Order: sequence, then C-alpha cells, then structure tokens
Amino acid sequence: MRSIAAIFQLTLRSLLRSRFLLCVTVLALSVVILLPLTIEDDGTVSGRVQVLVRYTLGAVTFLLSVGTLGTGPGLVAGELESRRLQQVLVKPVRFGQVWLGKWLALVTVNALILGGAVLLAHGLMRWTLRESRLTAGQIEELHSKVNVTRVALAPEDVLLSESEITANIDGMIRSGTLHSDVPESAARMTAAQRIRFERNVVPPGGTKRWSFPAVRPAPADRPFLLRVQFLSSANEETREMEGEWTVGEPGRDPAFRSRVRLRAFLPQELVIPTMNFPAAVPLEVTFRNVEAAAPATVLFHVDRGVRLLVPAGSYGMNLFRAYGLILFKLALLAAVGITMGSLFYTPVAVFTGFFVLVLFGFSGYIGWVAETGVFYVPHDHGAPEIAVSGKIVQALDLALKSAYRGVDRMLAPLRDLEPMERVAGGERILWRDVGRGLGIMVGVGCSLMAALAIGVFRRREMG
Amino acid sequence: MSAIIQADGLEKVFRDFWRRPRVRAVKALTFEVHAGEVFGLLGPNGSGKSTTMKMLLGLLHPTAGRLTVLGAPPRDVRVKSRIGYMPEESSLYPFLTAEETLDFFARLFPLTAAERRRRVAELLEMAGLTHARHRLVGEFSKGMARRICLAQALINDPDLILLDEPTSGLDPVGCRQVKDCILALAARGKTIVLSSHLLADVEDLCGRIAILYNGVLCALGGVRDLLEEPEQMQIFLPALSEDRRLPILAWLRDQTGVEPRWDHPRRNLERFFLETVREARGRVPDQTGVRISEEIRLAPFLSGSRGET
Ligand SMILES: Nc1ncnc2c1ncn2[C@@H]1O[C@H](COP(=O)(O)OP(=O)(O)OP(=O)(O)O)[C@@H](O)[C@H]1O
Ligand SMILES: [Mg+2]
Repeated sequence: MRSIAAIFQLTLRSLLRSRFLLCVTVLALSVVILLPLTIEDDGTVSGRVQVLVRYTLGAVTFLLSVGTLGTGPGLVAGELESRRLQQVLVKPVRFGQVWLGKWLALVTVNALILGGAVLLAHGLMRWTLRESRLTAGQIEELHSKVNVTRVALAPEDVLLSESEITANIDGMIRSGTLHSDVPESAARMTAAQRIRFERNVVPPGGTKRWSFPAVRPAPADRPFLLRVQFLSSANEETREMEGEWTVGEPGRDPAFRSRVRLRAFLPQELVIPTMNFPAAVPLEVTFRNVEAAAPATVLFHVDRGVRLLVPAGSYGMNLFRAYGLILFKLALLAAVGITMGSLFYTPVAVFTGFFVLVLFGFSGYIGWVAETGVFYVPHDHGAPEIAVSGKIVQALDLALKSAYRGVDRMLAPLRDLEPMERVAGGERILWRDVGRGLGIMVGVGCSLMAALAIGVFRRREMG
Repeated sequence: MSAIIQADGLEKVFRDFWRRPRVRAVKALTFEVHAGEVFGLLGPNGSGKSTTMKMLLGLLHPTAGRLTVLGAPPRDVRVKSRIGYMPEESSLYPFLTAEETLDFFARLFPLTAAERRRRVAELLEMAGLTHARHRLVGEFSKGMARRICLAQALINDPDLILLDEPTSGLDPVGCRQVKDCILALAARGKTIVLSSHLLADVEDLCGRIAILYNGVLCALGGVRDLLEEPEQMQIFLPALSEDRRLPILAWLRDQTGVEPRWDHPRRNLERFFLETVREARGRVPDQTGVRISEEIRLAPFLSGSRGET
C-alpha cells in the first residue's frame, strides 16, 4: 500500500509536469470553448445541446485517449530506458505495485482533466441556453426535452408461437418460396424473421398495436415522449406520412389521440402530454395508417420501431454517469498504454497502444465486416462481384471473418456503452450500465492488462 | 564465515532480436563473497562488471550457472529488502528535491514516518547535502548526484551493499569520503561488493578482488596475497646525509651481493590535495557545492549487520 502510494505520487508529479499532457489539456479545454463557435446547429435547443455537449465532449474524449496512450507507455518503457525504474525495482517492490501506482496516477490525471472539461461544457451550456435569451417555445423545449432525462422503454415482445412458425413454413413451401429439403432449423429461423417483419408492416388503412409494461404517471412539465422510426413504401427516404396515434390504458378510451404527419427514415419524437392516471398502469400505443394524399405502406423498424420515453432523473445526474462511463474507457486505455510500455520499447509500445485506439474507433466497421465478410463474395446467388479465384478468397474470407468476429465480440460491450449520444439525446444512462461499464472496462479489461504486464514482466530483463 | 553471495559457473549472453547470441558478457564465473568483507570487481571497460552486478540484483537473468544472494535467488523480494545498490550512472527523478528523492526510496520500505524522516536527515547530513536538500536533483552536479545515489542505497540499512563505480565523478575529497564511508560500513559488519577501475581505490578498500577480462575471471584472491612481492623488501629511514648513507649502503652491498637502490618517498597527490582543500575551507565560503566536513560521519541509524557477523 505504502509503496503504491509512493509510486502514485511520484507518477502524478511527473505527469503534471509533462509537456505533452499540458498540450492535451489546453487543447481539450479550448475545444470545449471553441468548437460550439465553429459548428452550426439546427436552431433548436436540442440541436444546441448536441453541439455543446456531445461534440465537444466527444472531441475531449478523443484528445484524452490520445494523451493517455501517448504518455502511458513512457511511464514504464521510458523509465526503463532512462534506468530510473531499475532503481525502484531493486527495492522490495513488486512490479504489480508499480503498475498499479502508475495506472492510478494516469487515471487521476484523466479524471481531473475530463472533470474540468465536463464542468466547463456544462457551464457553457447553461450560460448559452439561459432563459433570458430563449423564446417561450425554446424554454419549453429546454424544460421538457433537455432538463429531463428519460428511459427508453421497449414494447413487450410478442412471442412467436411454434404453430405460427410451422404454419408460415408450410405456406412458404406451398407457394414455392422455400424448397422442402431446406434444413428444419434454417427454415424456422427464416420463418421467424419473416413473421417479425410482417408484423411491422402497416398497409394503408391498417392498424398496429404495441403494449408497454406498467409505467408511473408523469407530471405536466415532464411529459412522455414517443420515439418512432419507420420506412415508407413510397421509396422516398424523407417522405411524410400521416398517421393517427393513440396512447392509453388498454380496454379504455385512450387518454391521448392525435393525427400527425411524421417523416419516414429518421427517428421522430411525439410529445405525449400529461397522462392523468392515478397509479402505475400498463399502456397501449396504436398507430393507424391514414395517409390519404398518396397512400403507401409503412414498415416500422424491426428493433427500434417504437420507444416510449419515460421521464426519469435529471440532466445533471445523467451527465455525471456519462462522465463515469467515459472515465472507465480512459482507465482502460491507461491500462493498455502502461501494459504496452511494460512489454515493448517506447516507439513500439506507443504504436500498439494507438492500434488499440483505432480498433475502438472502428469497432462499428469491425462489427460490419464480421457480419458480411472482407471480400464481399456472394456465396450462393448471383455472379461474384470480384472476379478472383473463388475458393482461396472464400477460405481467406472465412478466416478473416472469424478473426474480425473475435475482435468484435471483445469490443461489443464497449460499443453500447457510448454515453455522449444518450446524454445529448436526453436518454437516461442507467446505473446498471455504469456498473456494467465499471465491470467490463475496469474490472475485466484493466485486470487482464495488469495480468498480462505482470506475467510478461517477470521474464523481462532490465539491463 | 558464511557465504553471502555464491556464484557458480555464471554466464551471460546478450542476444539480439532474433535470439542470436550477440555478446558473451560473462563466462563461467565462479566466486563467493563472505559476510563482512569488501569484495572488488576489477576489469577494463566492457569486461562484465556491471553485468555481473545486475545479475546479483536480479535485473538480468543468468544464461547459465547458479546464483544465490543472501541464501535465495536474487529476485526474491525478501532478498531485495536487505540489499542496497548504487548504479554506475546516477539516474534520478529530476523533478524531485534531494530530500524528496530519499523520502521516495524510503517509502518503498516498511518504515514509520518518523523513522523515515530521521534516516533521510541523517543520510543528507552524511552526504554533505543538508544545505542543498530543497534543491532539485535535476540541477545537481555529477558528484552531488553520486552522493544522493549512495545515500539512497543505504536508506534501508542494508546488509549487502553493491556499488558500481562508487567514486566515478567524485572529486578527490568526495572519493576519500566515499572510501571512508565504505570502510566504516565494513567495520560495522556490512558486506560490500564494489566495482571500479580506479586501482588505488580498490587497493585501499578491498580485502579480496576478482579481475575480469572480457567476461572471463582472470584472478581471484586477497589483495595482500595478490600484490605482495615476497622476493623484495623495503626499509624506511629518516633522511640521511651523504656521509652517513654511503657506509650503510656499502655494508648492505657486502651483505647481500646486490646493489641496493634508494629514493625519497613522494607525498601522494591525494593527501596533498586534501590538505590544500582543508586549508582553503577556512577562507572560501561554501555556497554552491558540497559542504566538506573534516571526516565522514556515518549516519547513526546504520547499525551493525543484522543476523550475520
Ligand atoms: N543490455 C545489453 N545488451 C547488449 N550488450 C550488453 C548489454 N549490457 C552490456 N552489454 C555488453 O556486455 C559487455 C559487458 O558490459 P558491462 O557493462 O558489464 O561492462 P563493465 O565491466 O561494467 O564496463 P565499464 O567499466 O565500462 O562500466 C559489454 O561488451 C557490453 O557491450
Ligand atoms: Mg560498468
């Protein structure tokens, strides 16, 4: 403990004197101030918040990631090369203690800089969005959409019954869509997907219904929101469709009924005013396709078609949870940096560290490749788009695909813990997510890094 | 006497990236160091002295051979708490002051805060750096940094002290003080291994020495035994006038059958220098450098060796 504290303090002092980190800090803080001046928003309060919070803190996170990976390796590799660490390691100190002390120091520095940036961004947001400068409509938007965070509730899954699937398969075989000797499991999977899509299709004049679990009533100044996302068969991406929406308790007259035109393709939000029911009740949402001018079929997004956004907590706490999640990610990068510094000499260590950062950045792309393959060879239908000797490419493709899938599986938990989008969109980050972030990134990720460093260092020479 | 260090067939090969042997720095080195002795490792540049020291410390792994230090493998943490090491280059954290440097190293040992403060103060005093304790070691002269390096090696009151070229970079006063310090430590029962190519230093200090050349052990033994020339002898007399000297020399020639040689012994430069500085101390105020004290006073916390004698 005492040794860790001594190394922690020493590292903290050396970090606070580091020019590189000073540059990163100055850059980060100036980004928070300057970025909102250079990016145009769409004029709405939410748009302003996107710029003031999401983009600035996104840029700060990136800068801190670079800063952390730029300094982390030097804390071990650099000190070994200057023969300072040797003098520490001939004392009765385990390498694990050195690692931990240095990691804690790097995380502390990150926490301080990030904390400063978050506070600054928050202050700037409050200052630019002060009520004296806003119109009445904007003030209302500020209160109803920005100051309140909401939990996105998904509708209850309508379970697919086995008999429904069997009937669907039979239908496909009869109509010749499906060959009868397709393996049973593949046929069932196809049928299930088909049913799921079919259920989200609403033809002109048709109706669709979603059930939500019991929710508590919301006060007037913190209304529910309904977020919807759909495609239109009219094949124009941003076409407007008219629909009739109701929200209410099942089996009763709906408390909310409204005919609105909503744009296809992008997520849209509908404000549901006060729900005046006395206690927590389950809710039902219906949609009727009433587009008259140019009737078209509506296809709701299979996974994100309709979400009920229920008020839960304040903006400040949400920002704090986001801060936690970002910090955990930086802590993981600090662990990566220090471990790379324990395995390699400085340039190699910095390079491998940045490679990991690039992996983080491209995690979406990696997920996509893991799905589709590298060479994009259509296996069973149509002519190959690239004329190369098929077998080799297919084998290579398979190998790369599984490699990508492995990396993707490691990165997946990090991907859905991206907090800034949710903060700016007013979506509540759950404490459960914060806990999960702590567990995955610090508990598992950092421990693995530490174990790797300690394991390899045991064999390392320090001439 | 029990062996503090036992090296048996020690070998070190440095390899390149492809694991091909590049340098054979130490070859088949076998020696022992006993409790309470001052053991010298001698040899020209690149003969493997520092490499051997680093193996003793567990910083490098022997390619072959067996090595025990204080009865255990060198990487054992219990061993490390009884060792003090002064590397050949003073690599210190330049942003710490002298006092903070010693305090940092002290905190790596299980000492109470009060004990830590006492040791740091005593070592600063011993190193002659008390007045410079609030200065950054990054600004220190080479010799001042050497002194801090020696002080940090003693912070845990070690039983075994490894000193890699302890006097390099020190002025003659500093050399003399470090040598006195080593002798005083040895008198308290510490075991000391030092490397140097300053032969006069080694001769003054070491009981036994090993001479390495290109990693090979070429000589090993007590300094007296190795250096004594039993076939010759010296006689010291007060200076004699010519008329008294000639008959004595004639008599010696008759007795031994060889022509005796005579000369005036010269004061050695070290002693002359020390006397000059001592005289200057009263006249020139000391402001920047190290404060020269009359004689080295070991830090009082440096007790006799624990356990061994
Ligand atoms: N880390 C290393 N990698 C490769 N070769 C090394 C390494 N350290 C030392 N050597 C080589 O090992 C040999 C012995 O070096 P060592 O530093 O032990 O010599 P030394 O006796 O201490 O010399 P000096 O008197 O100059 O300090 C030299 O040829 C040196 O080049
Ligand atoms: Mg050397």
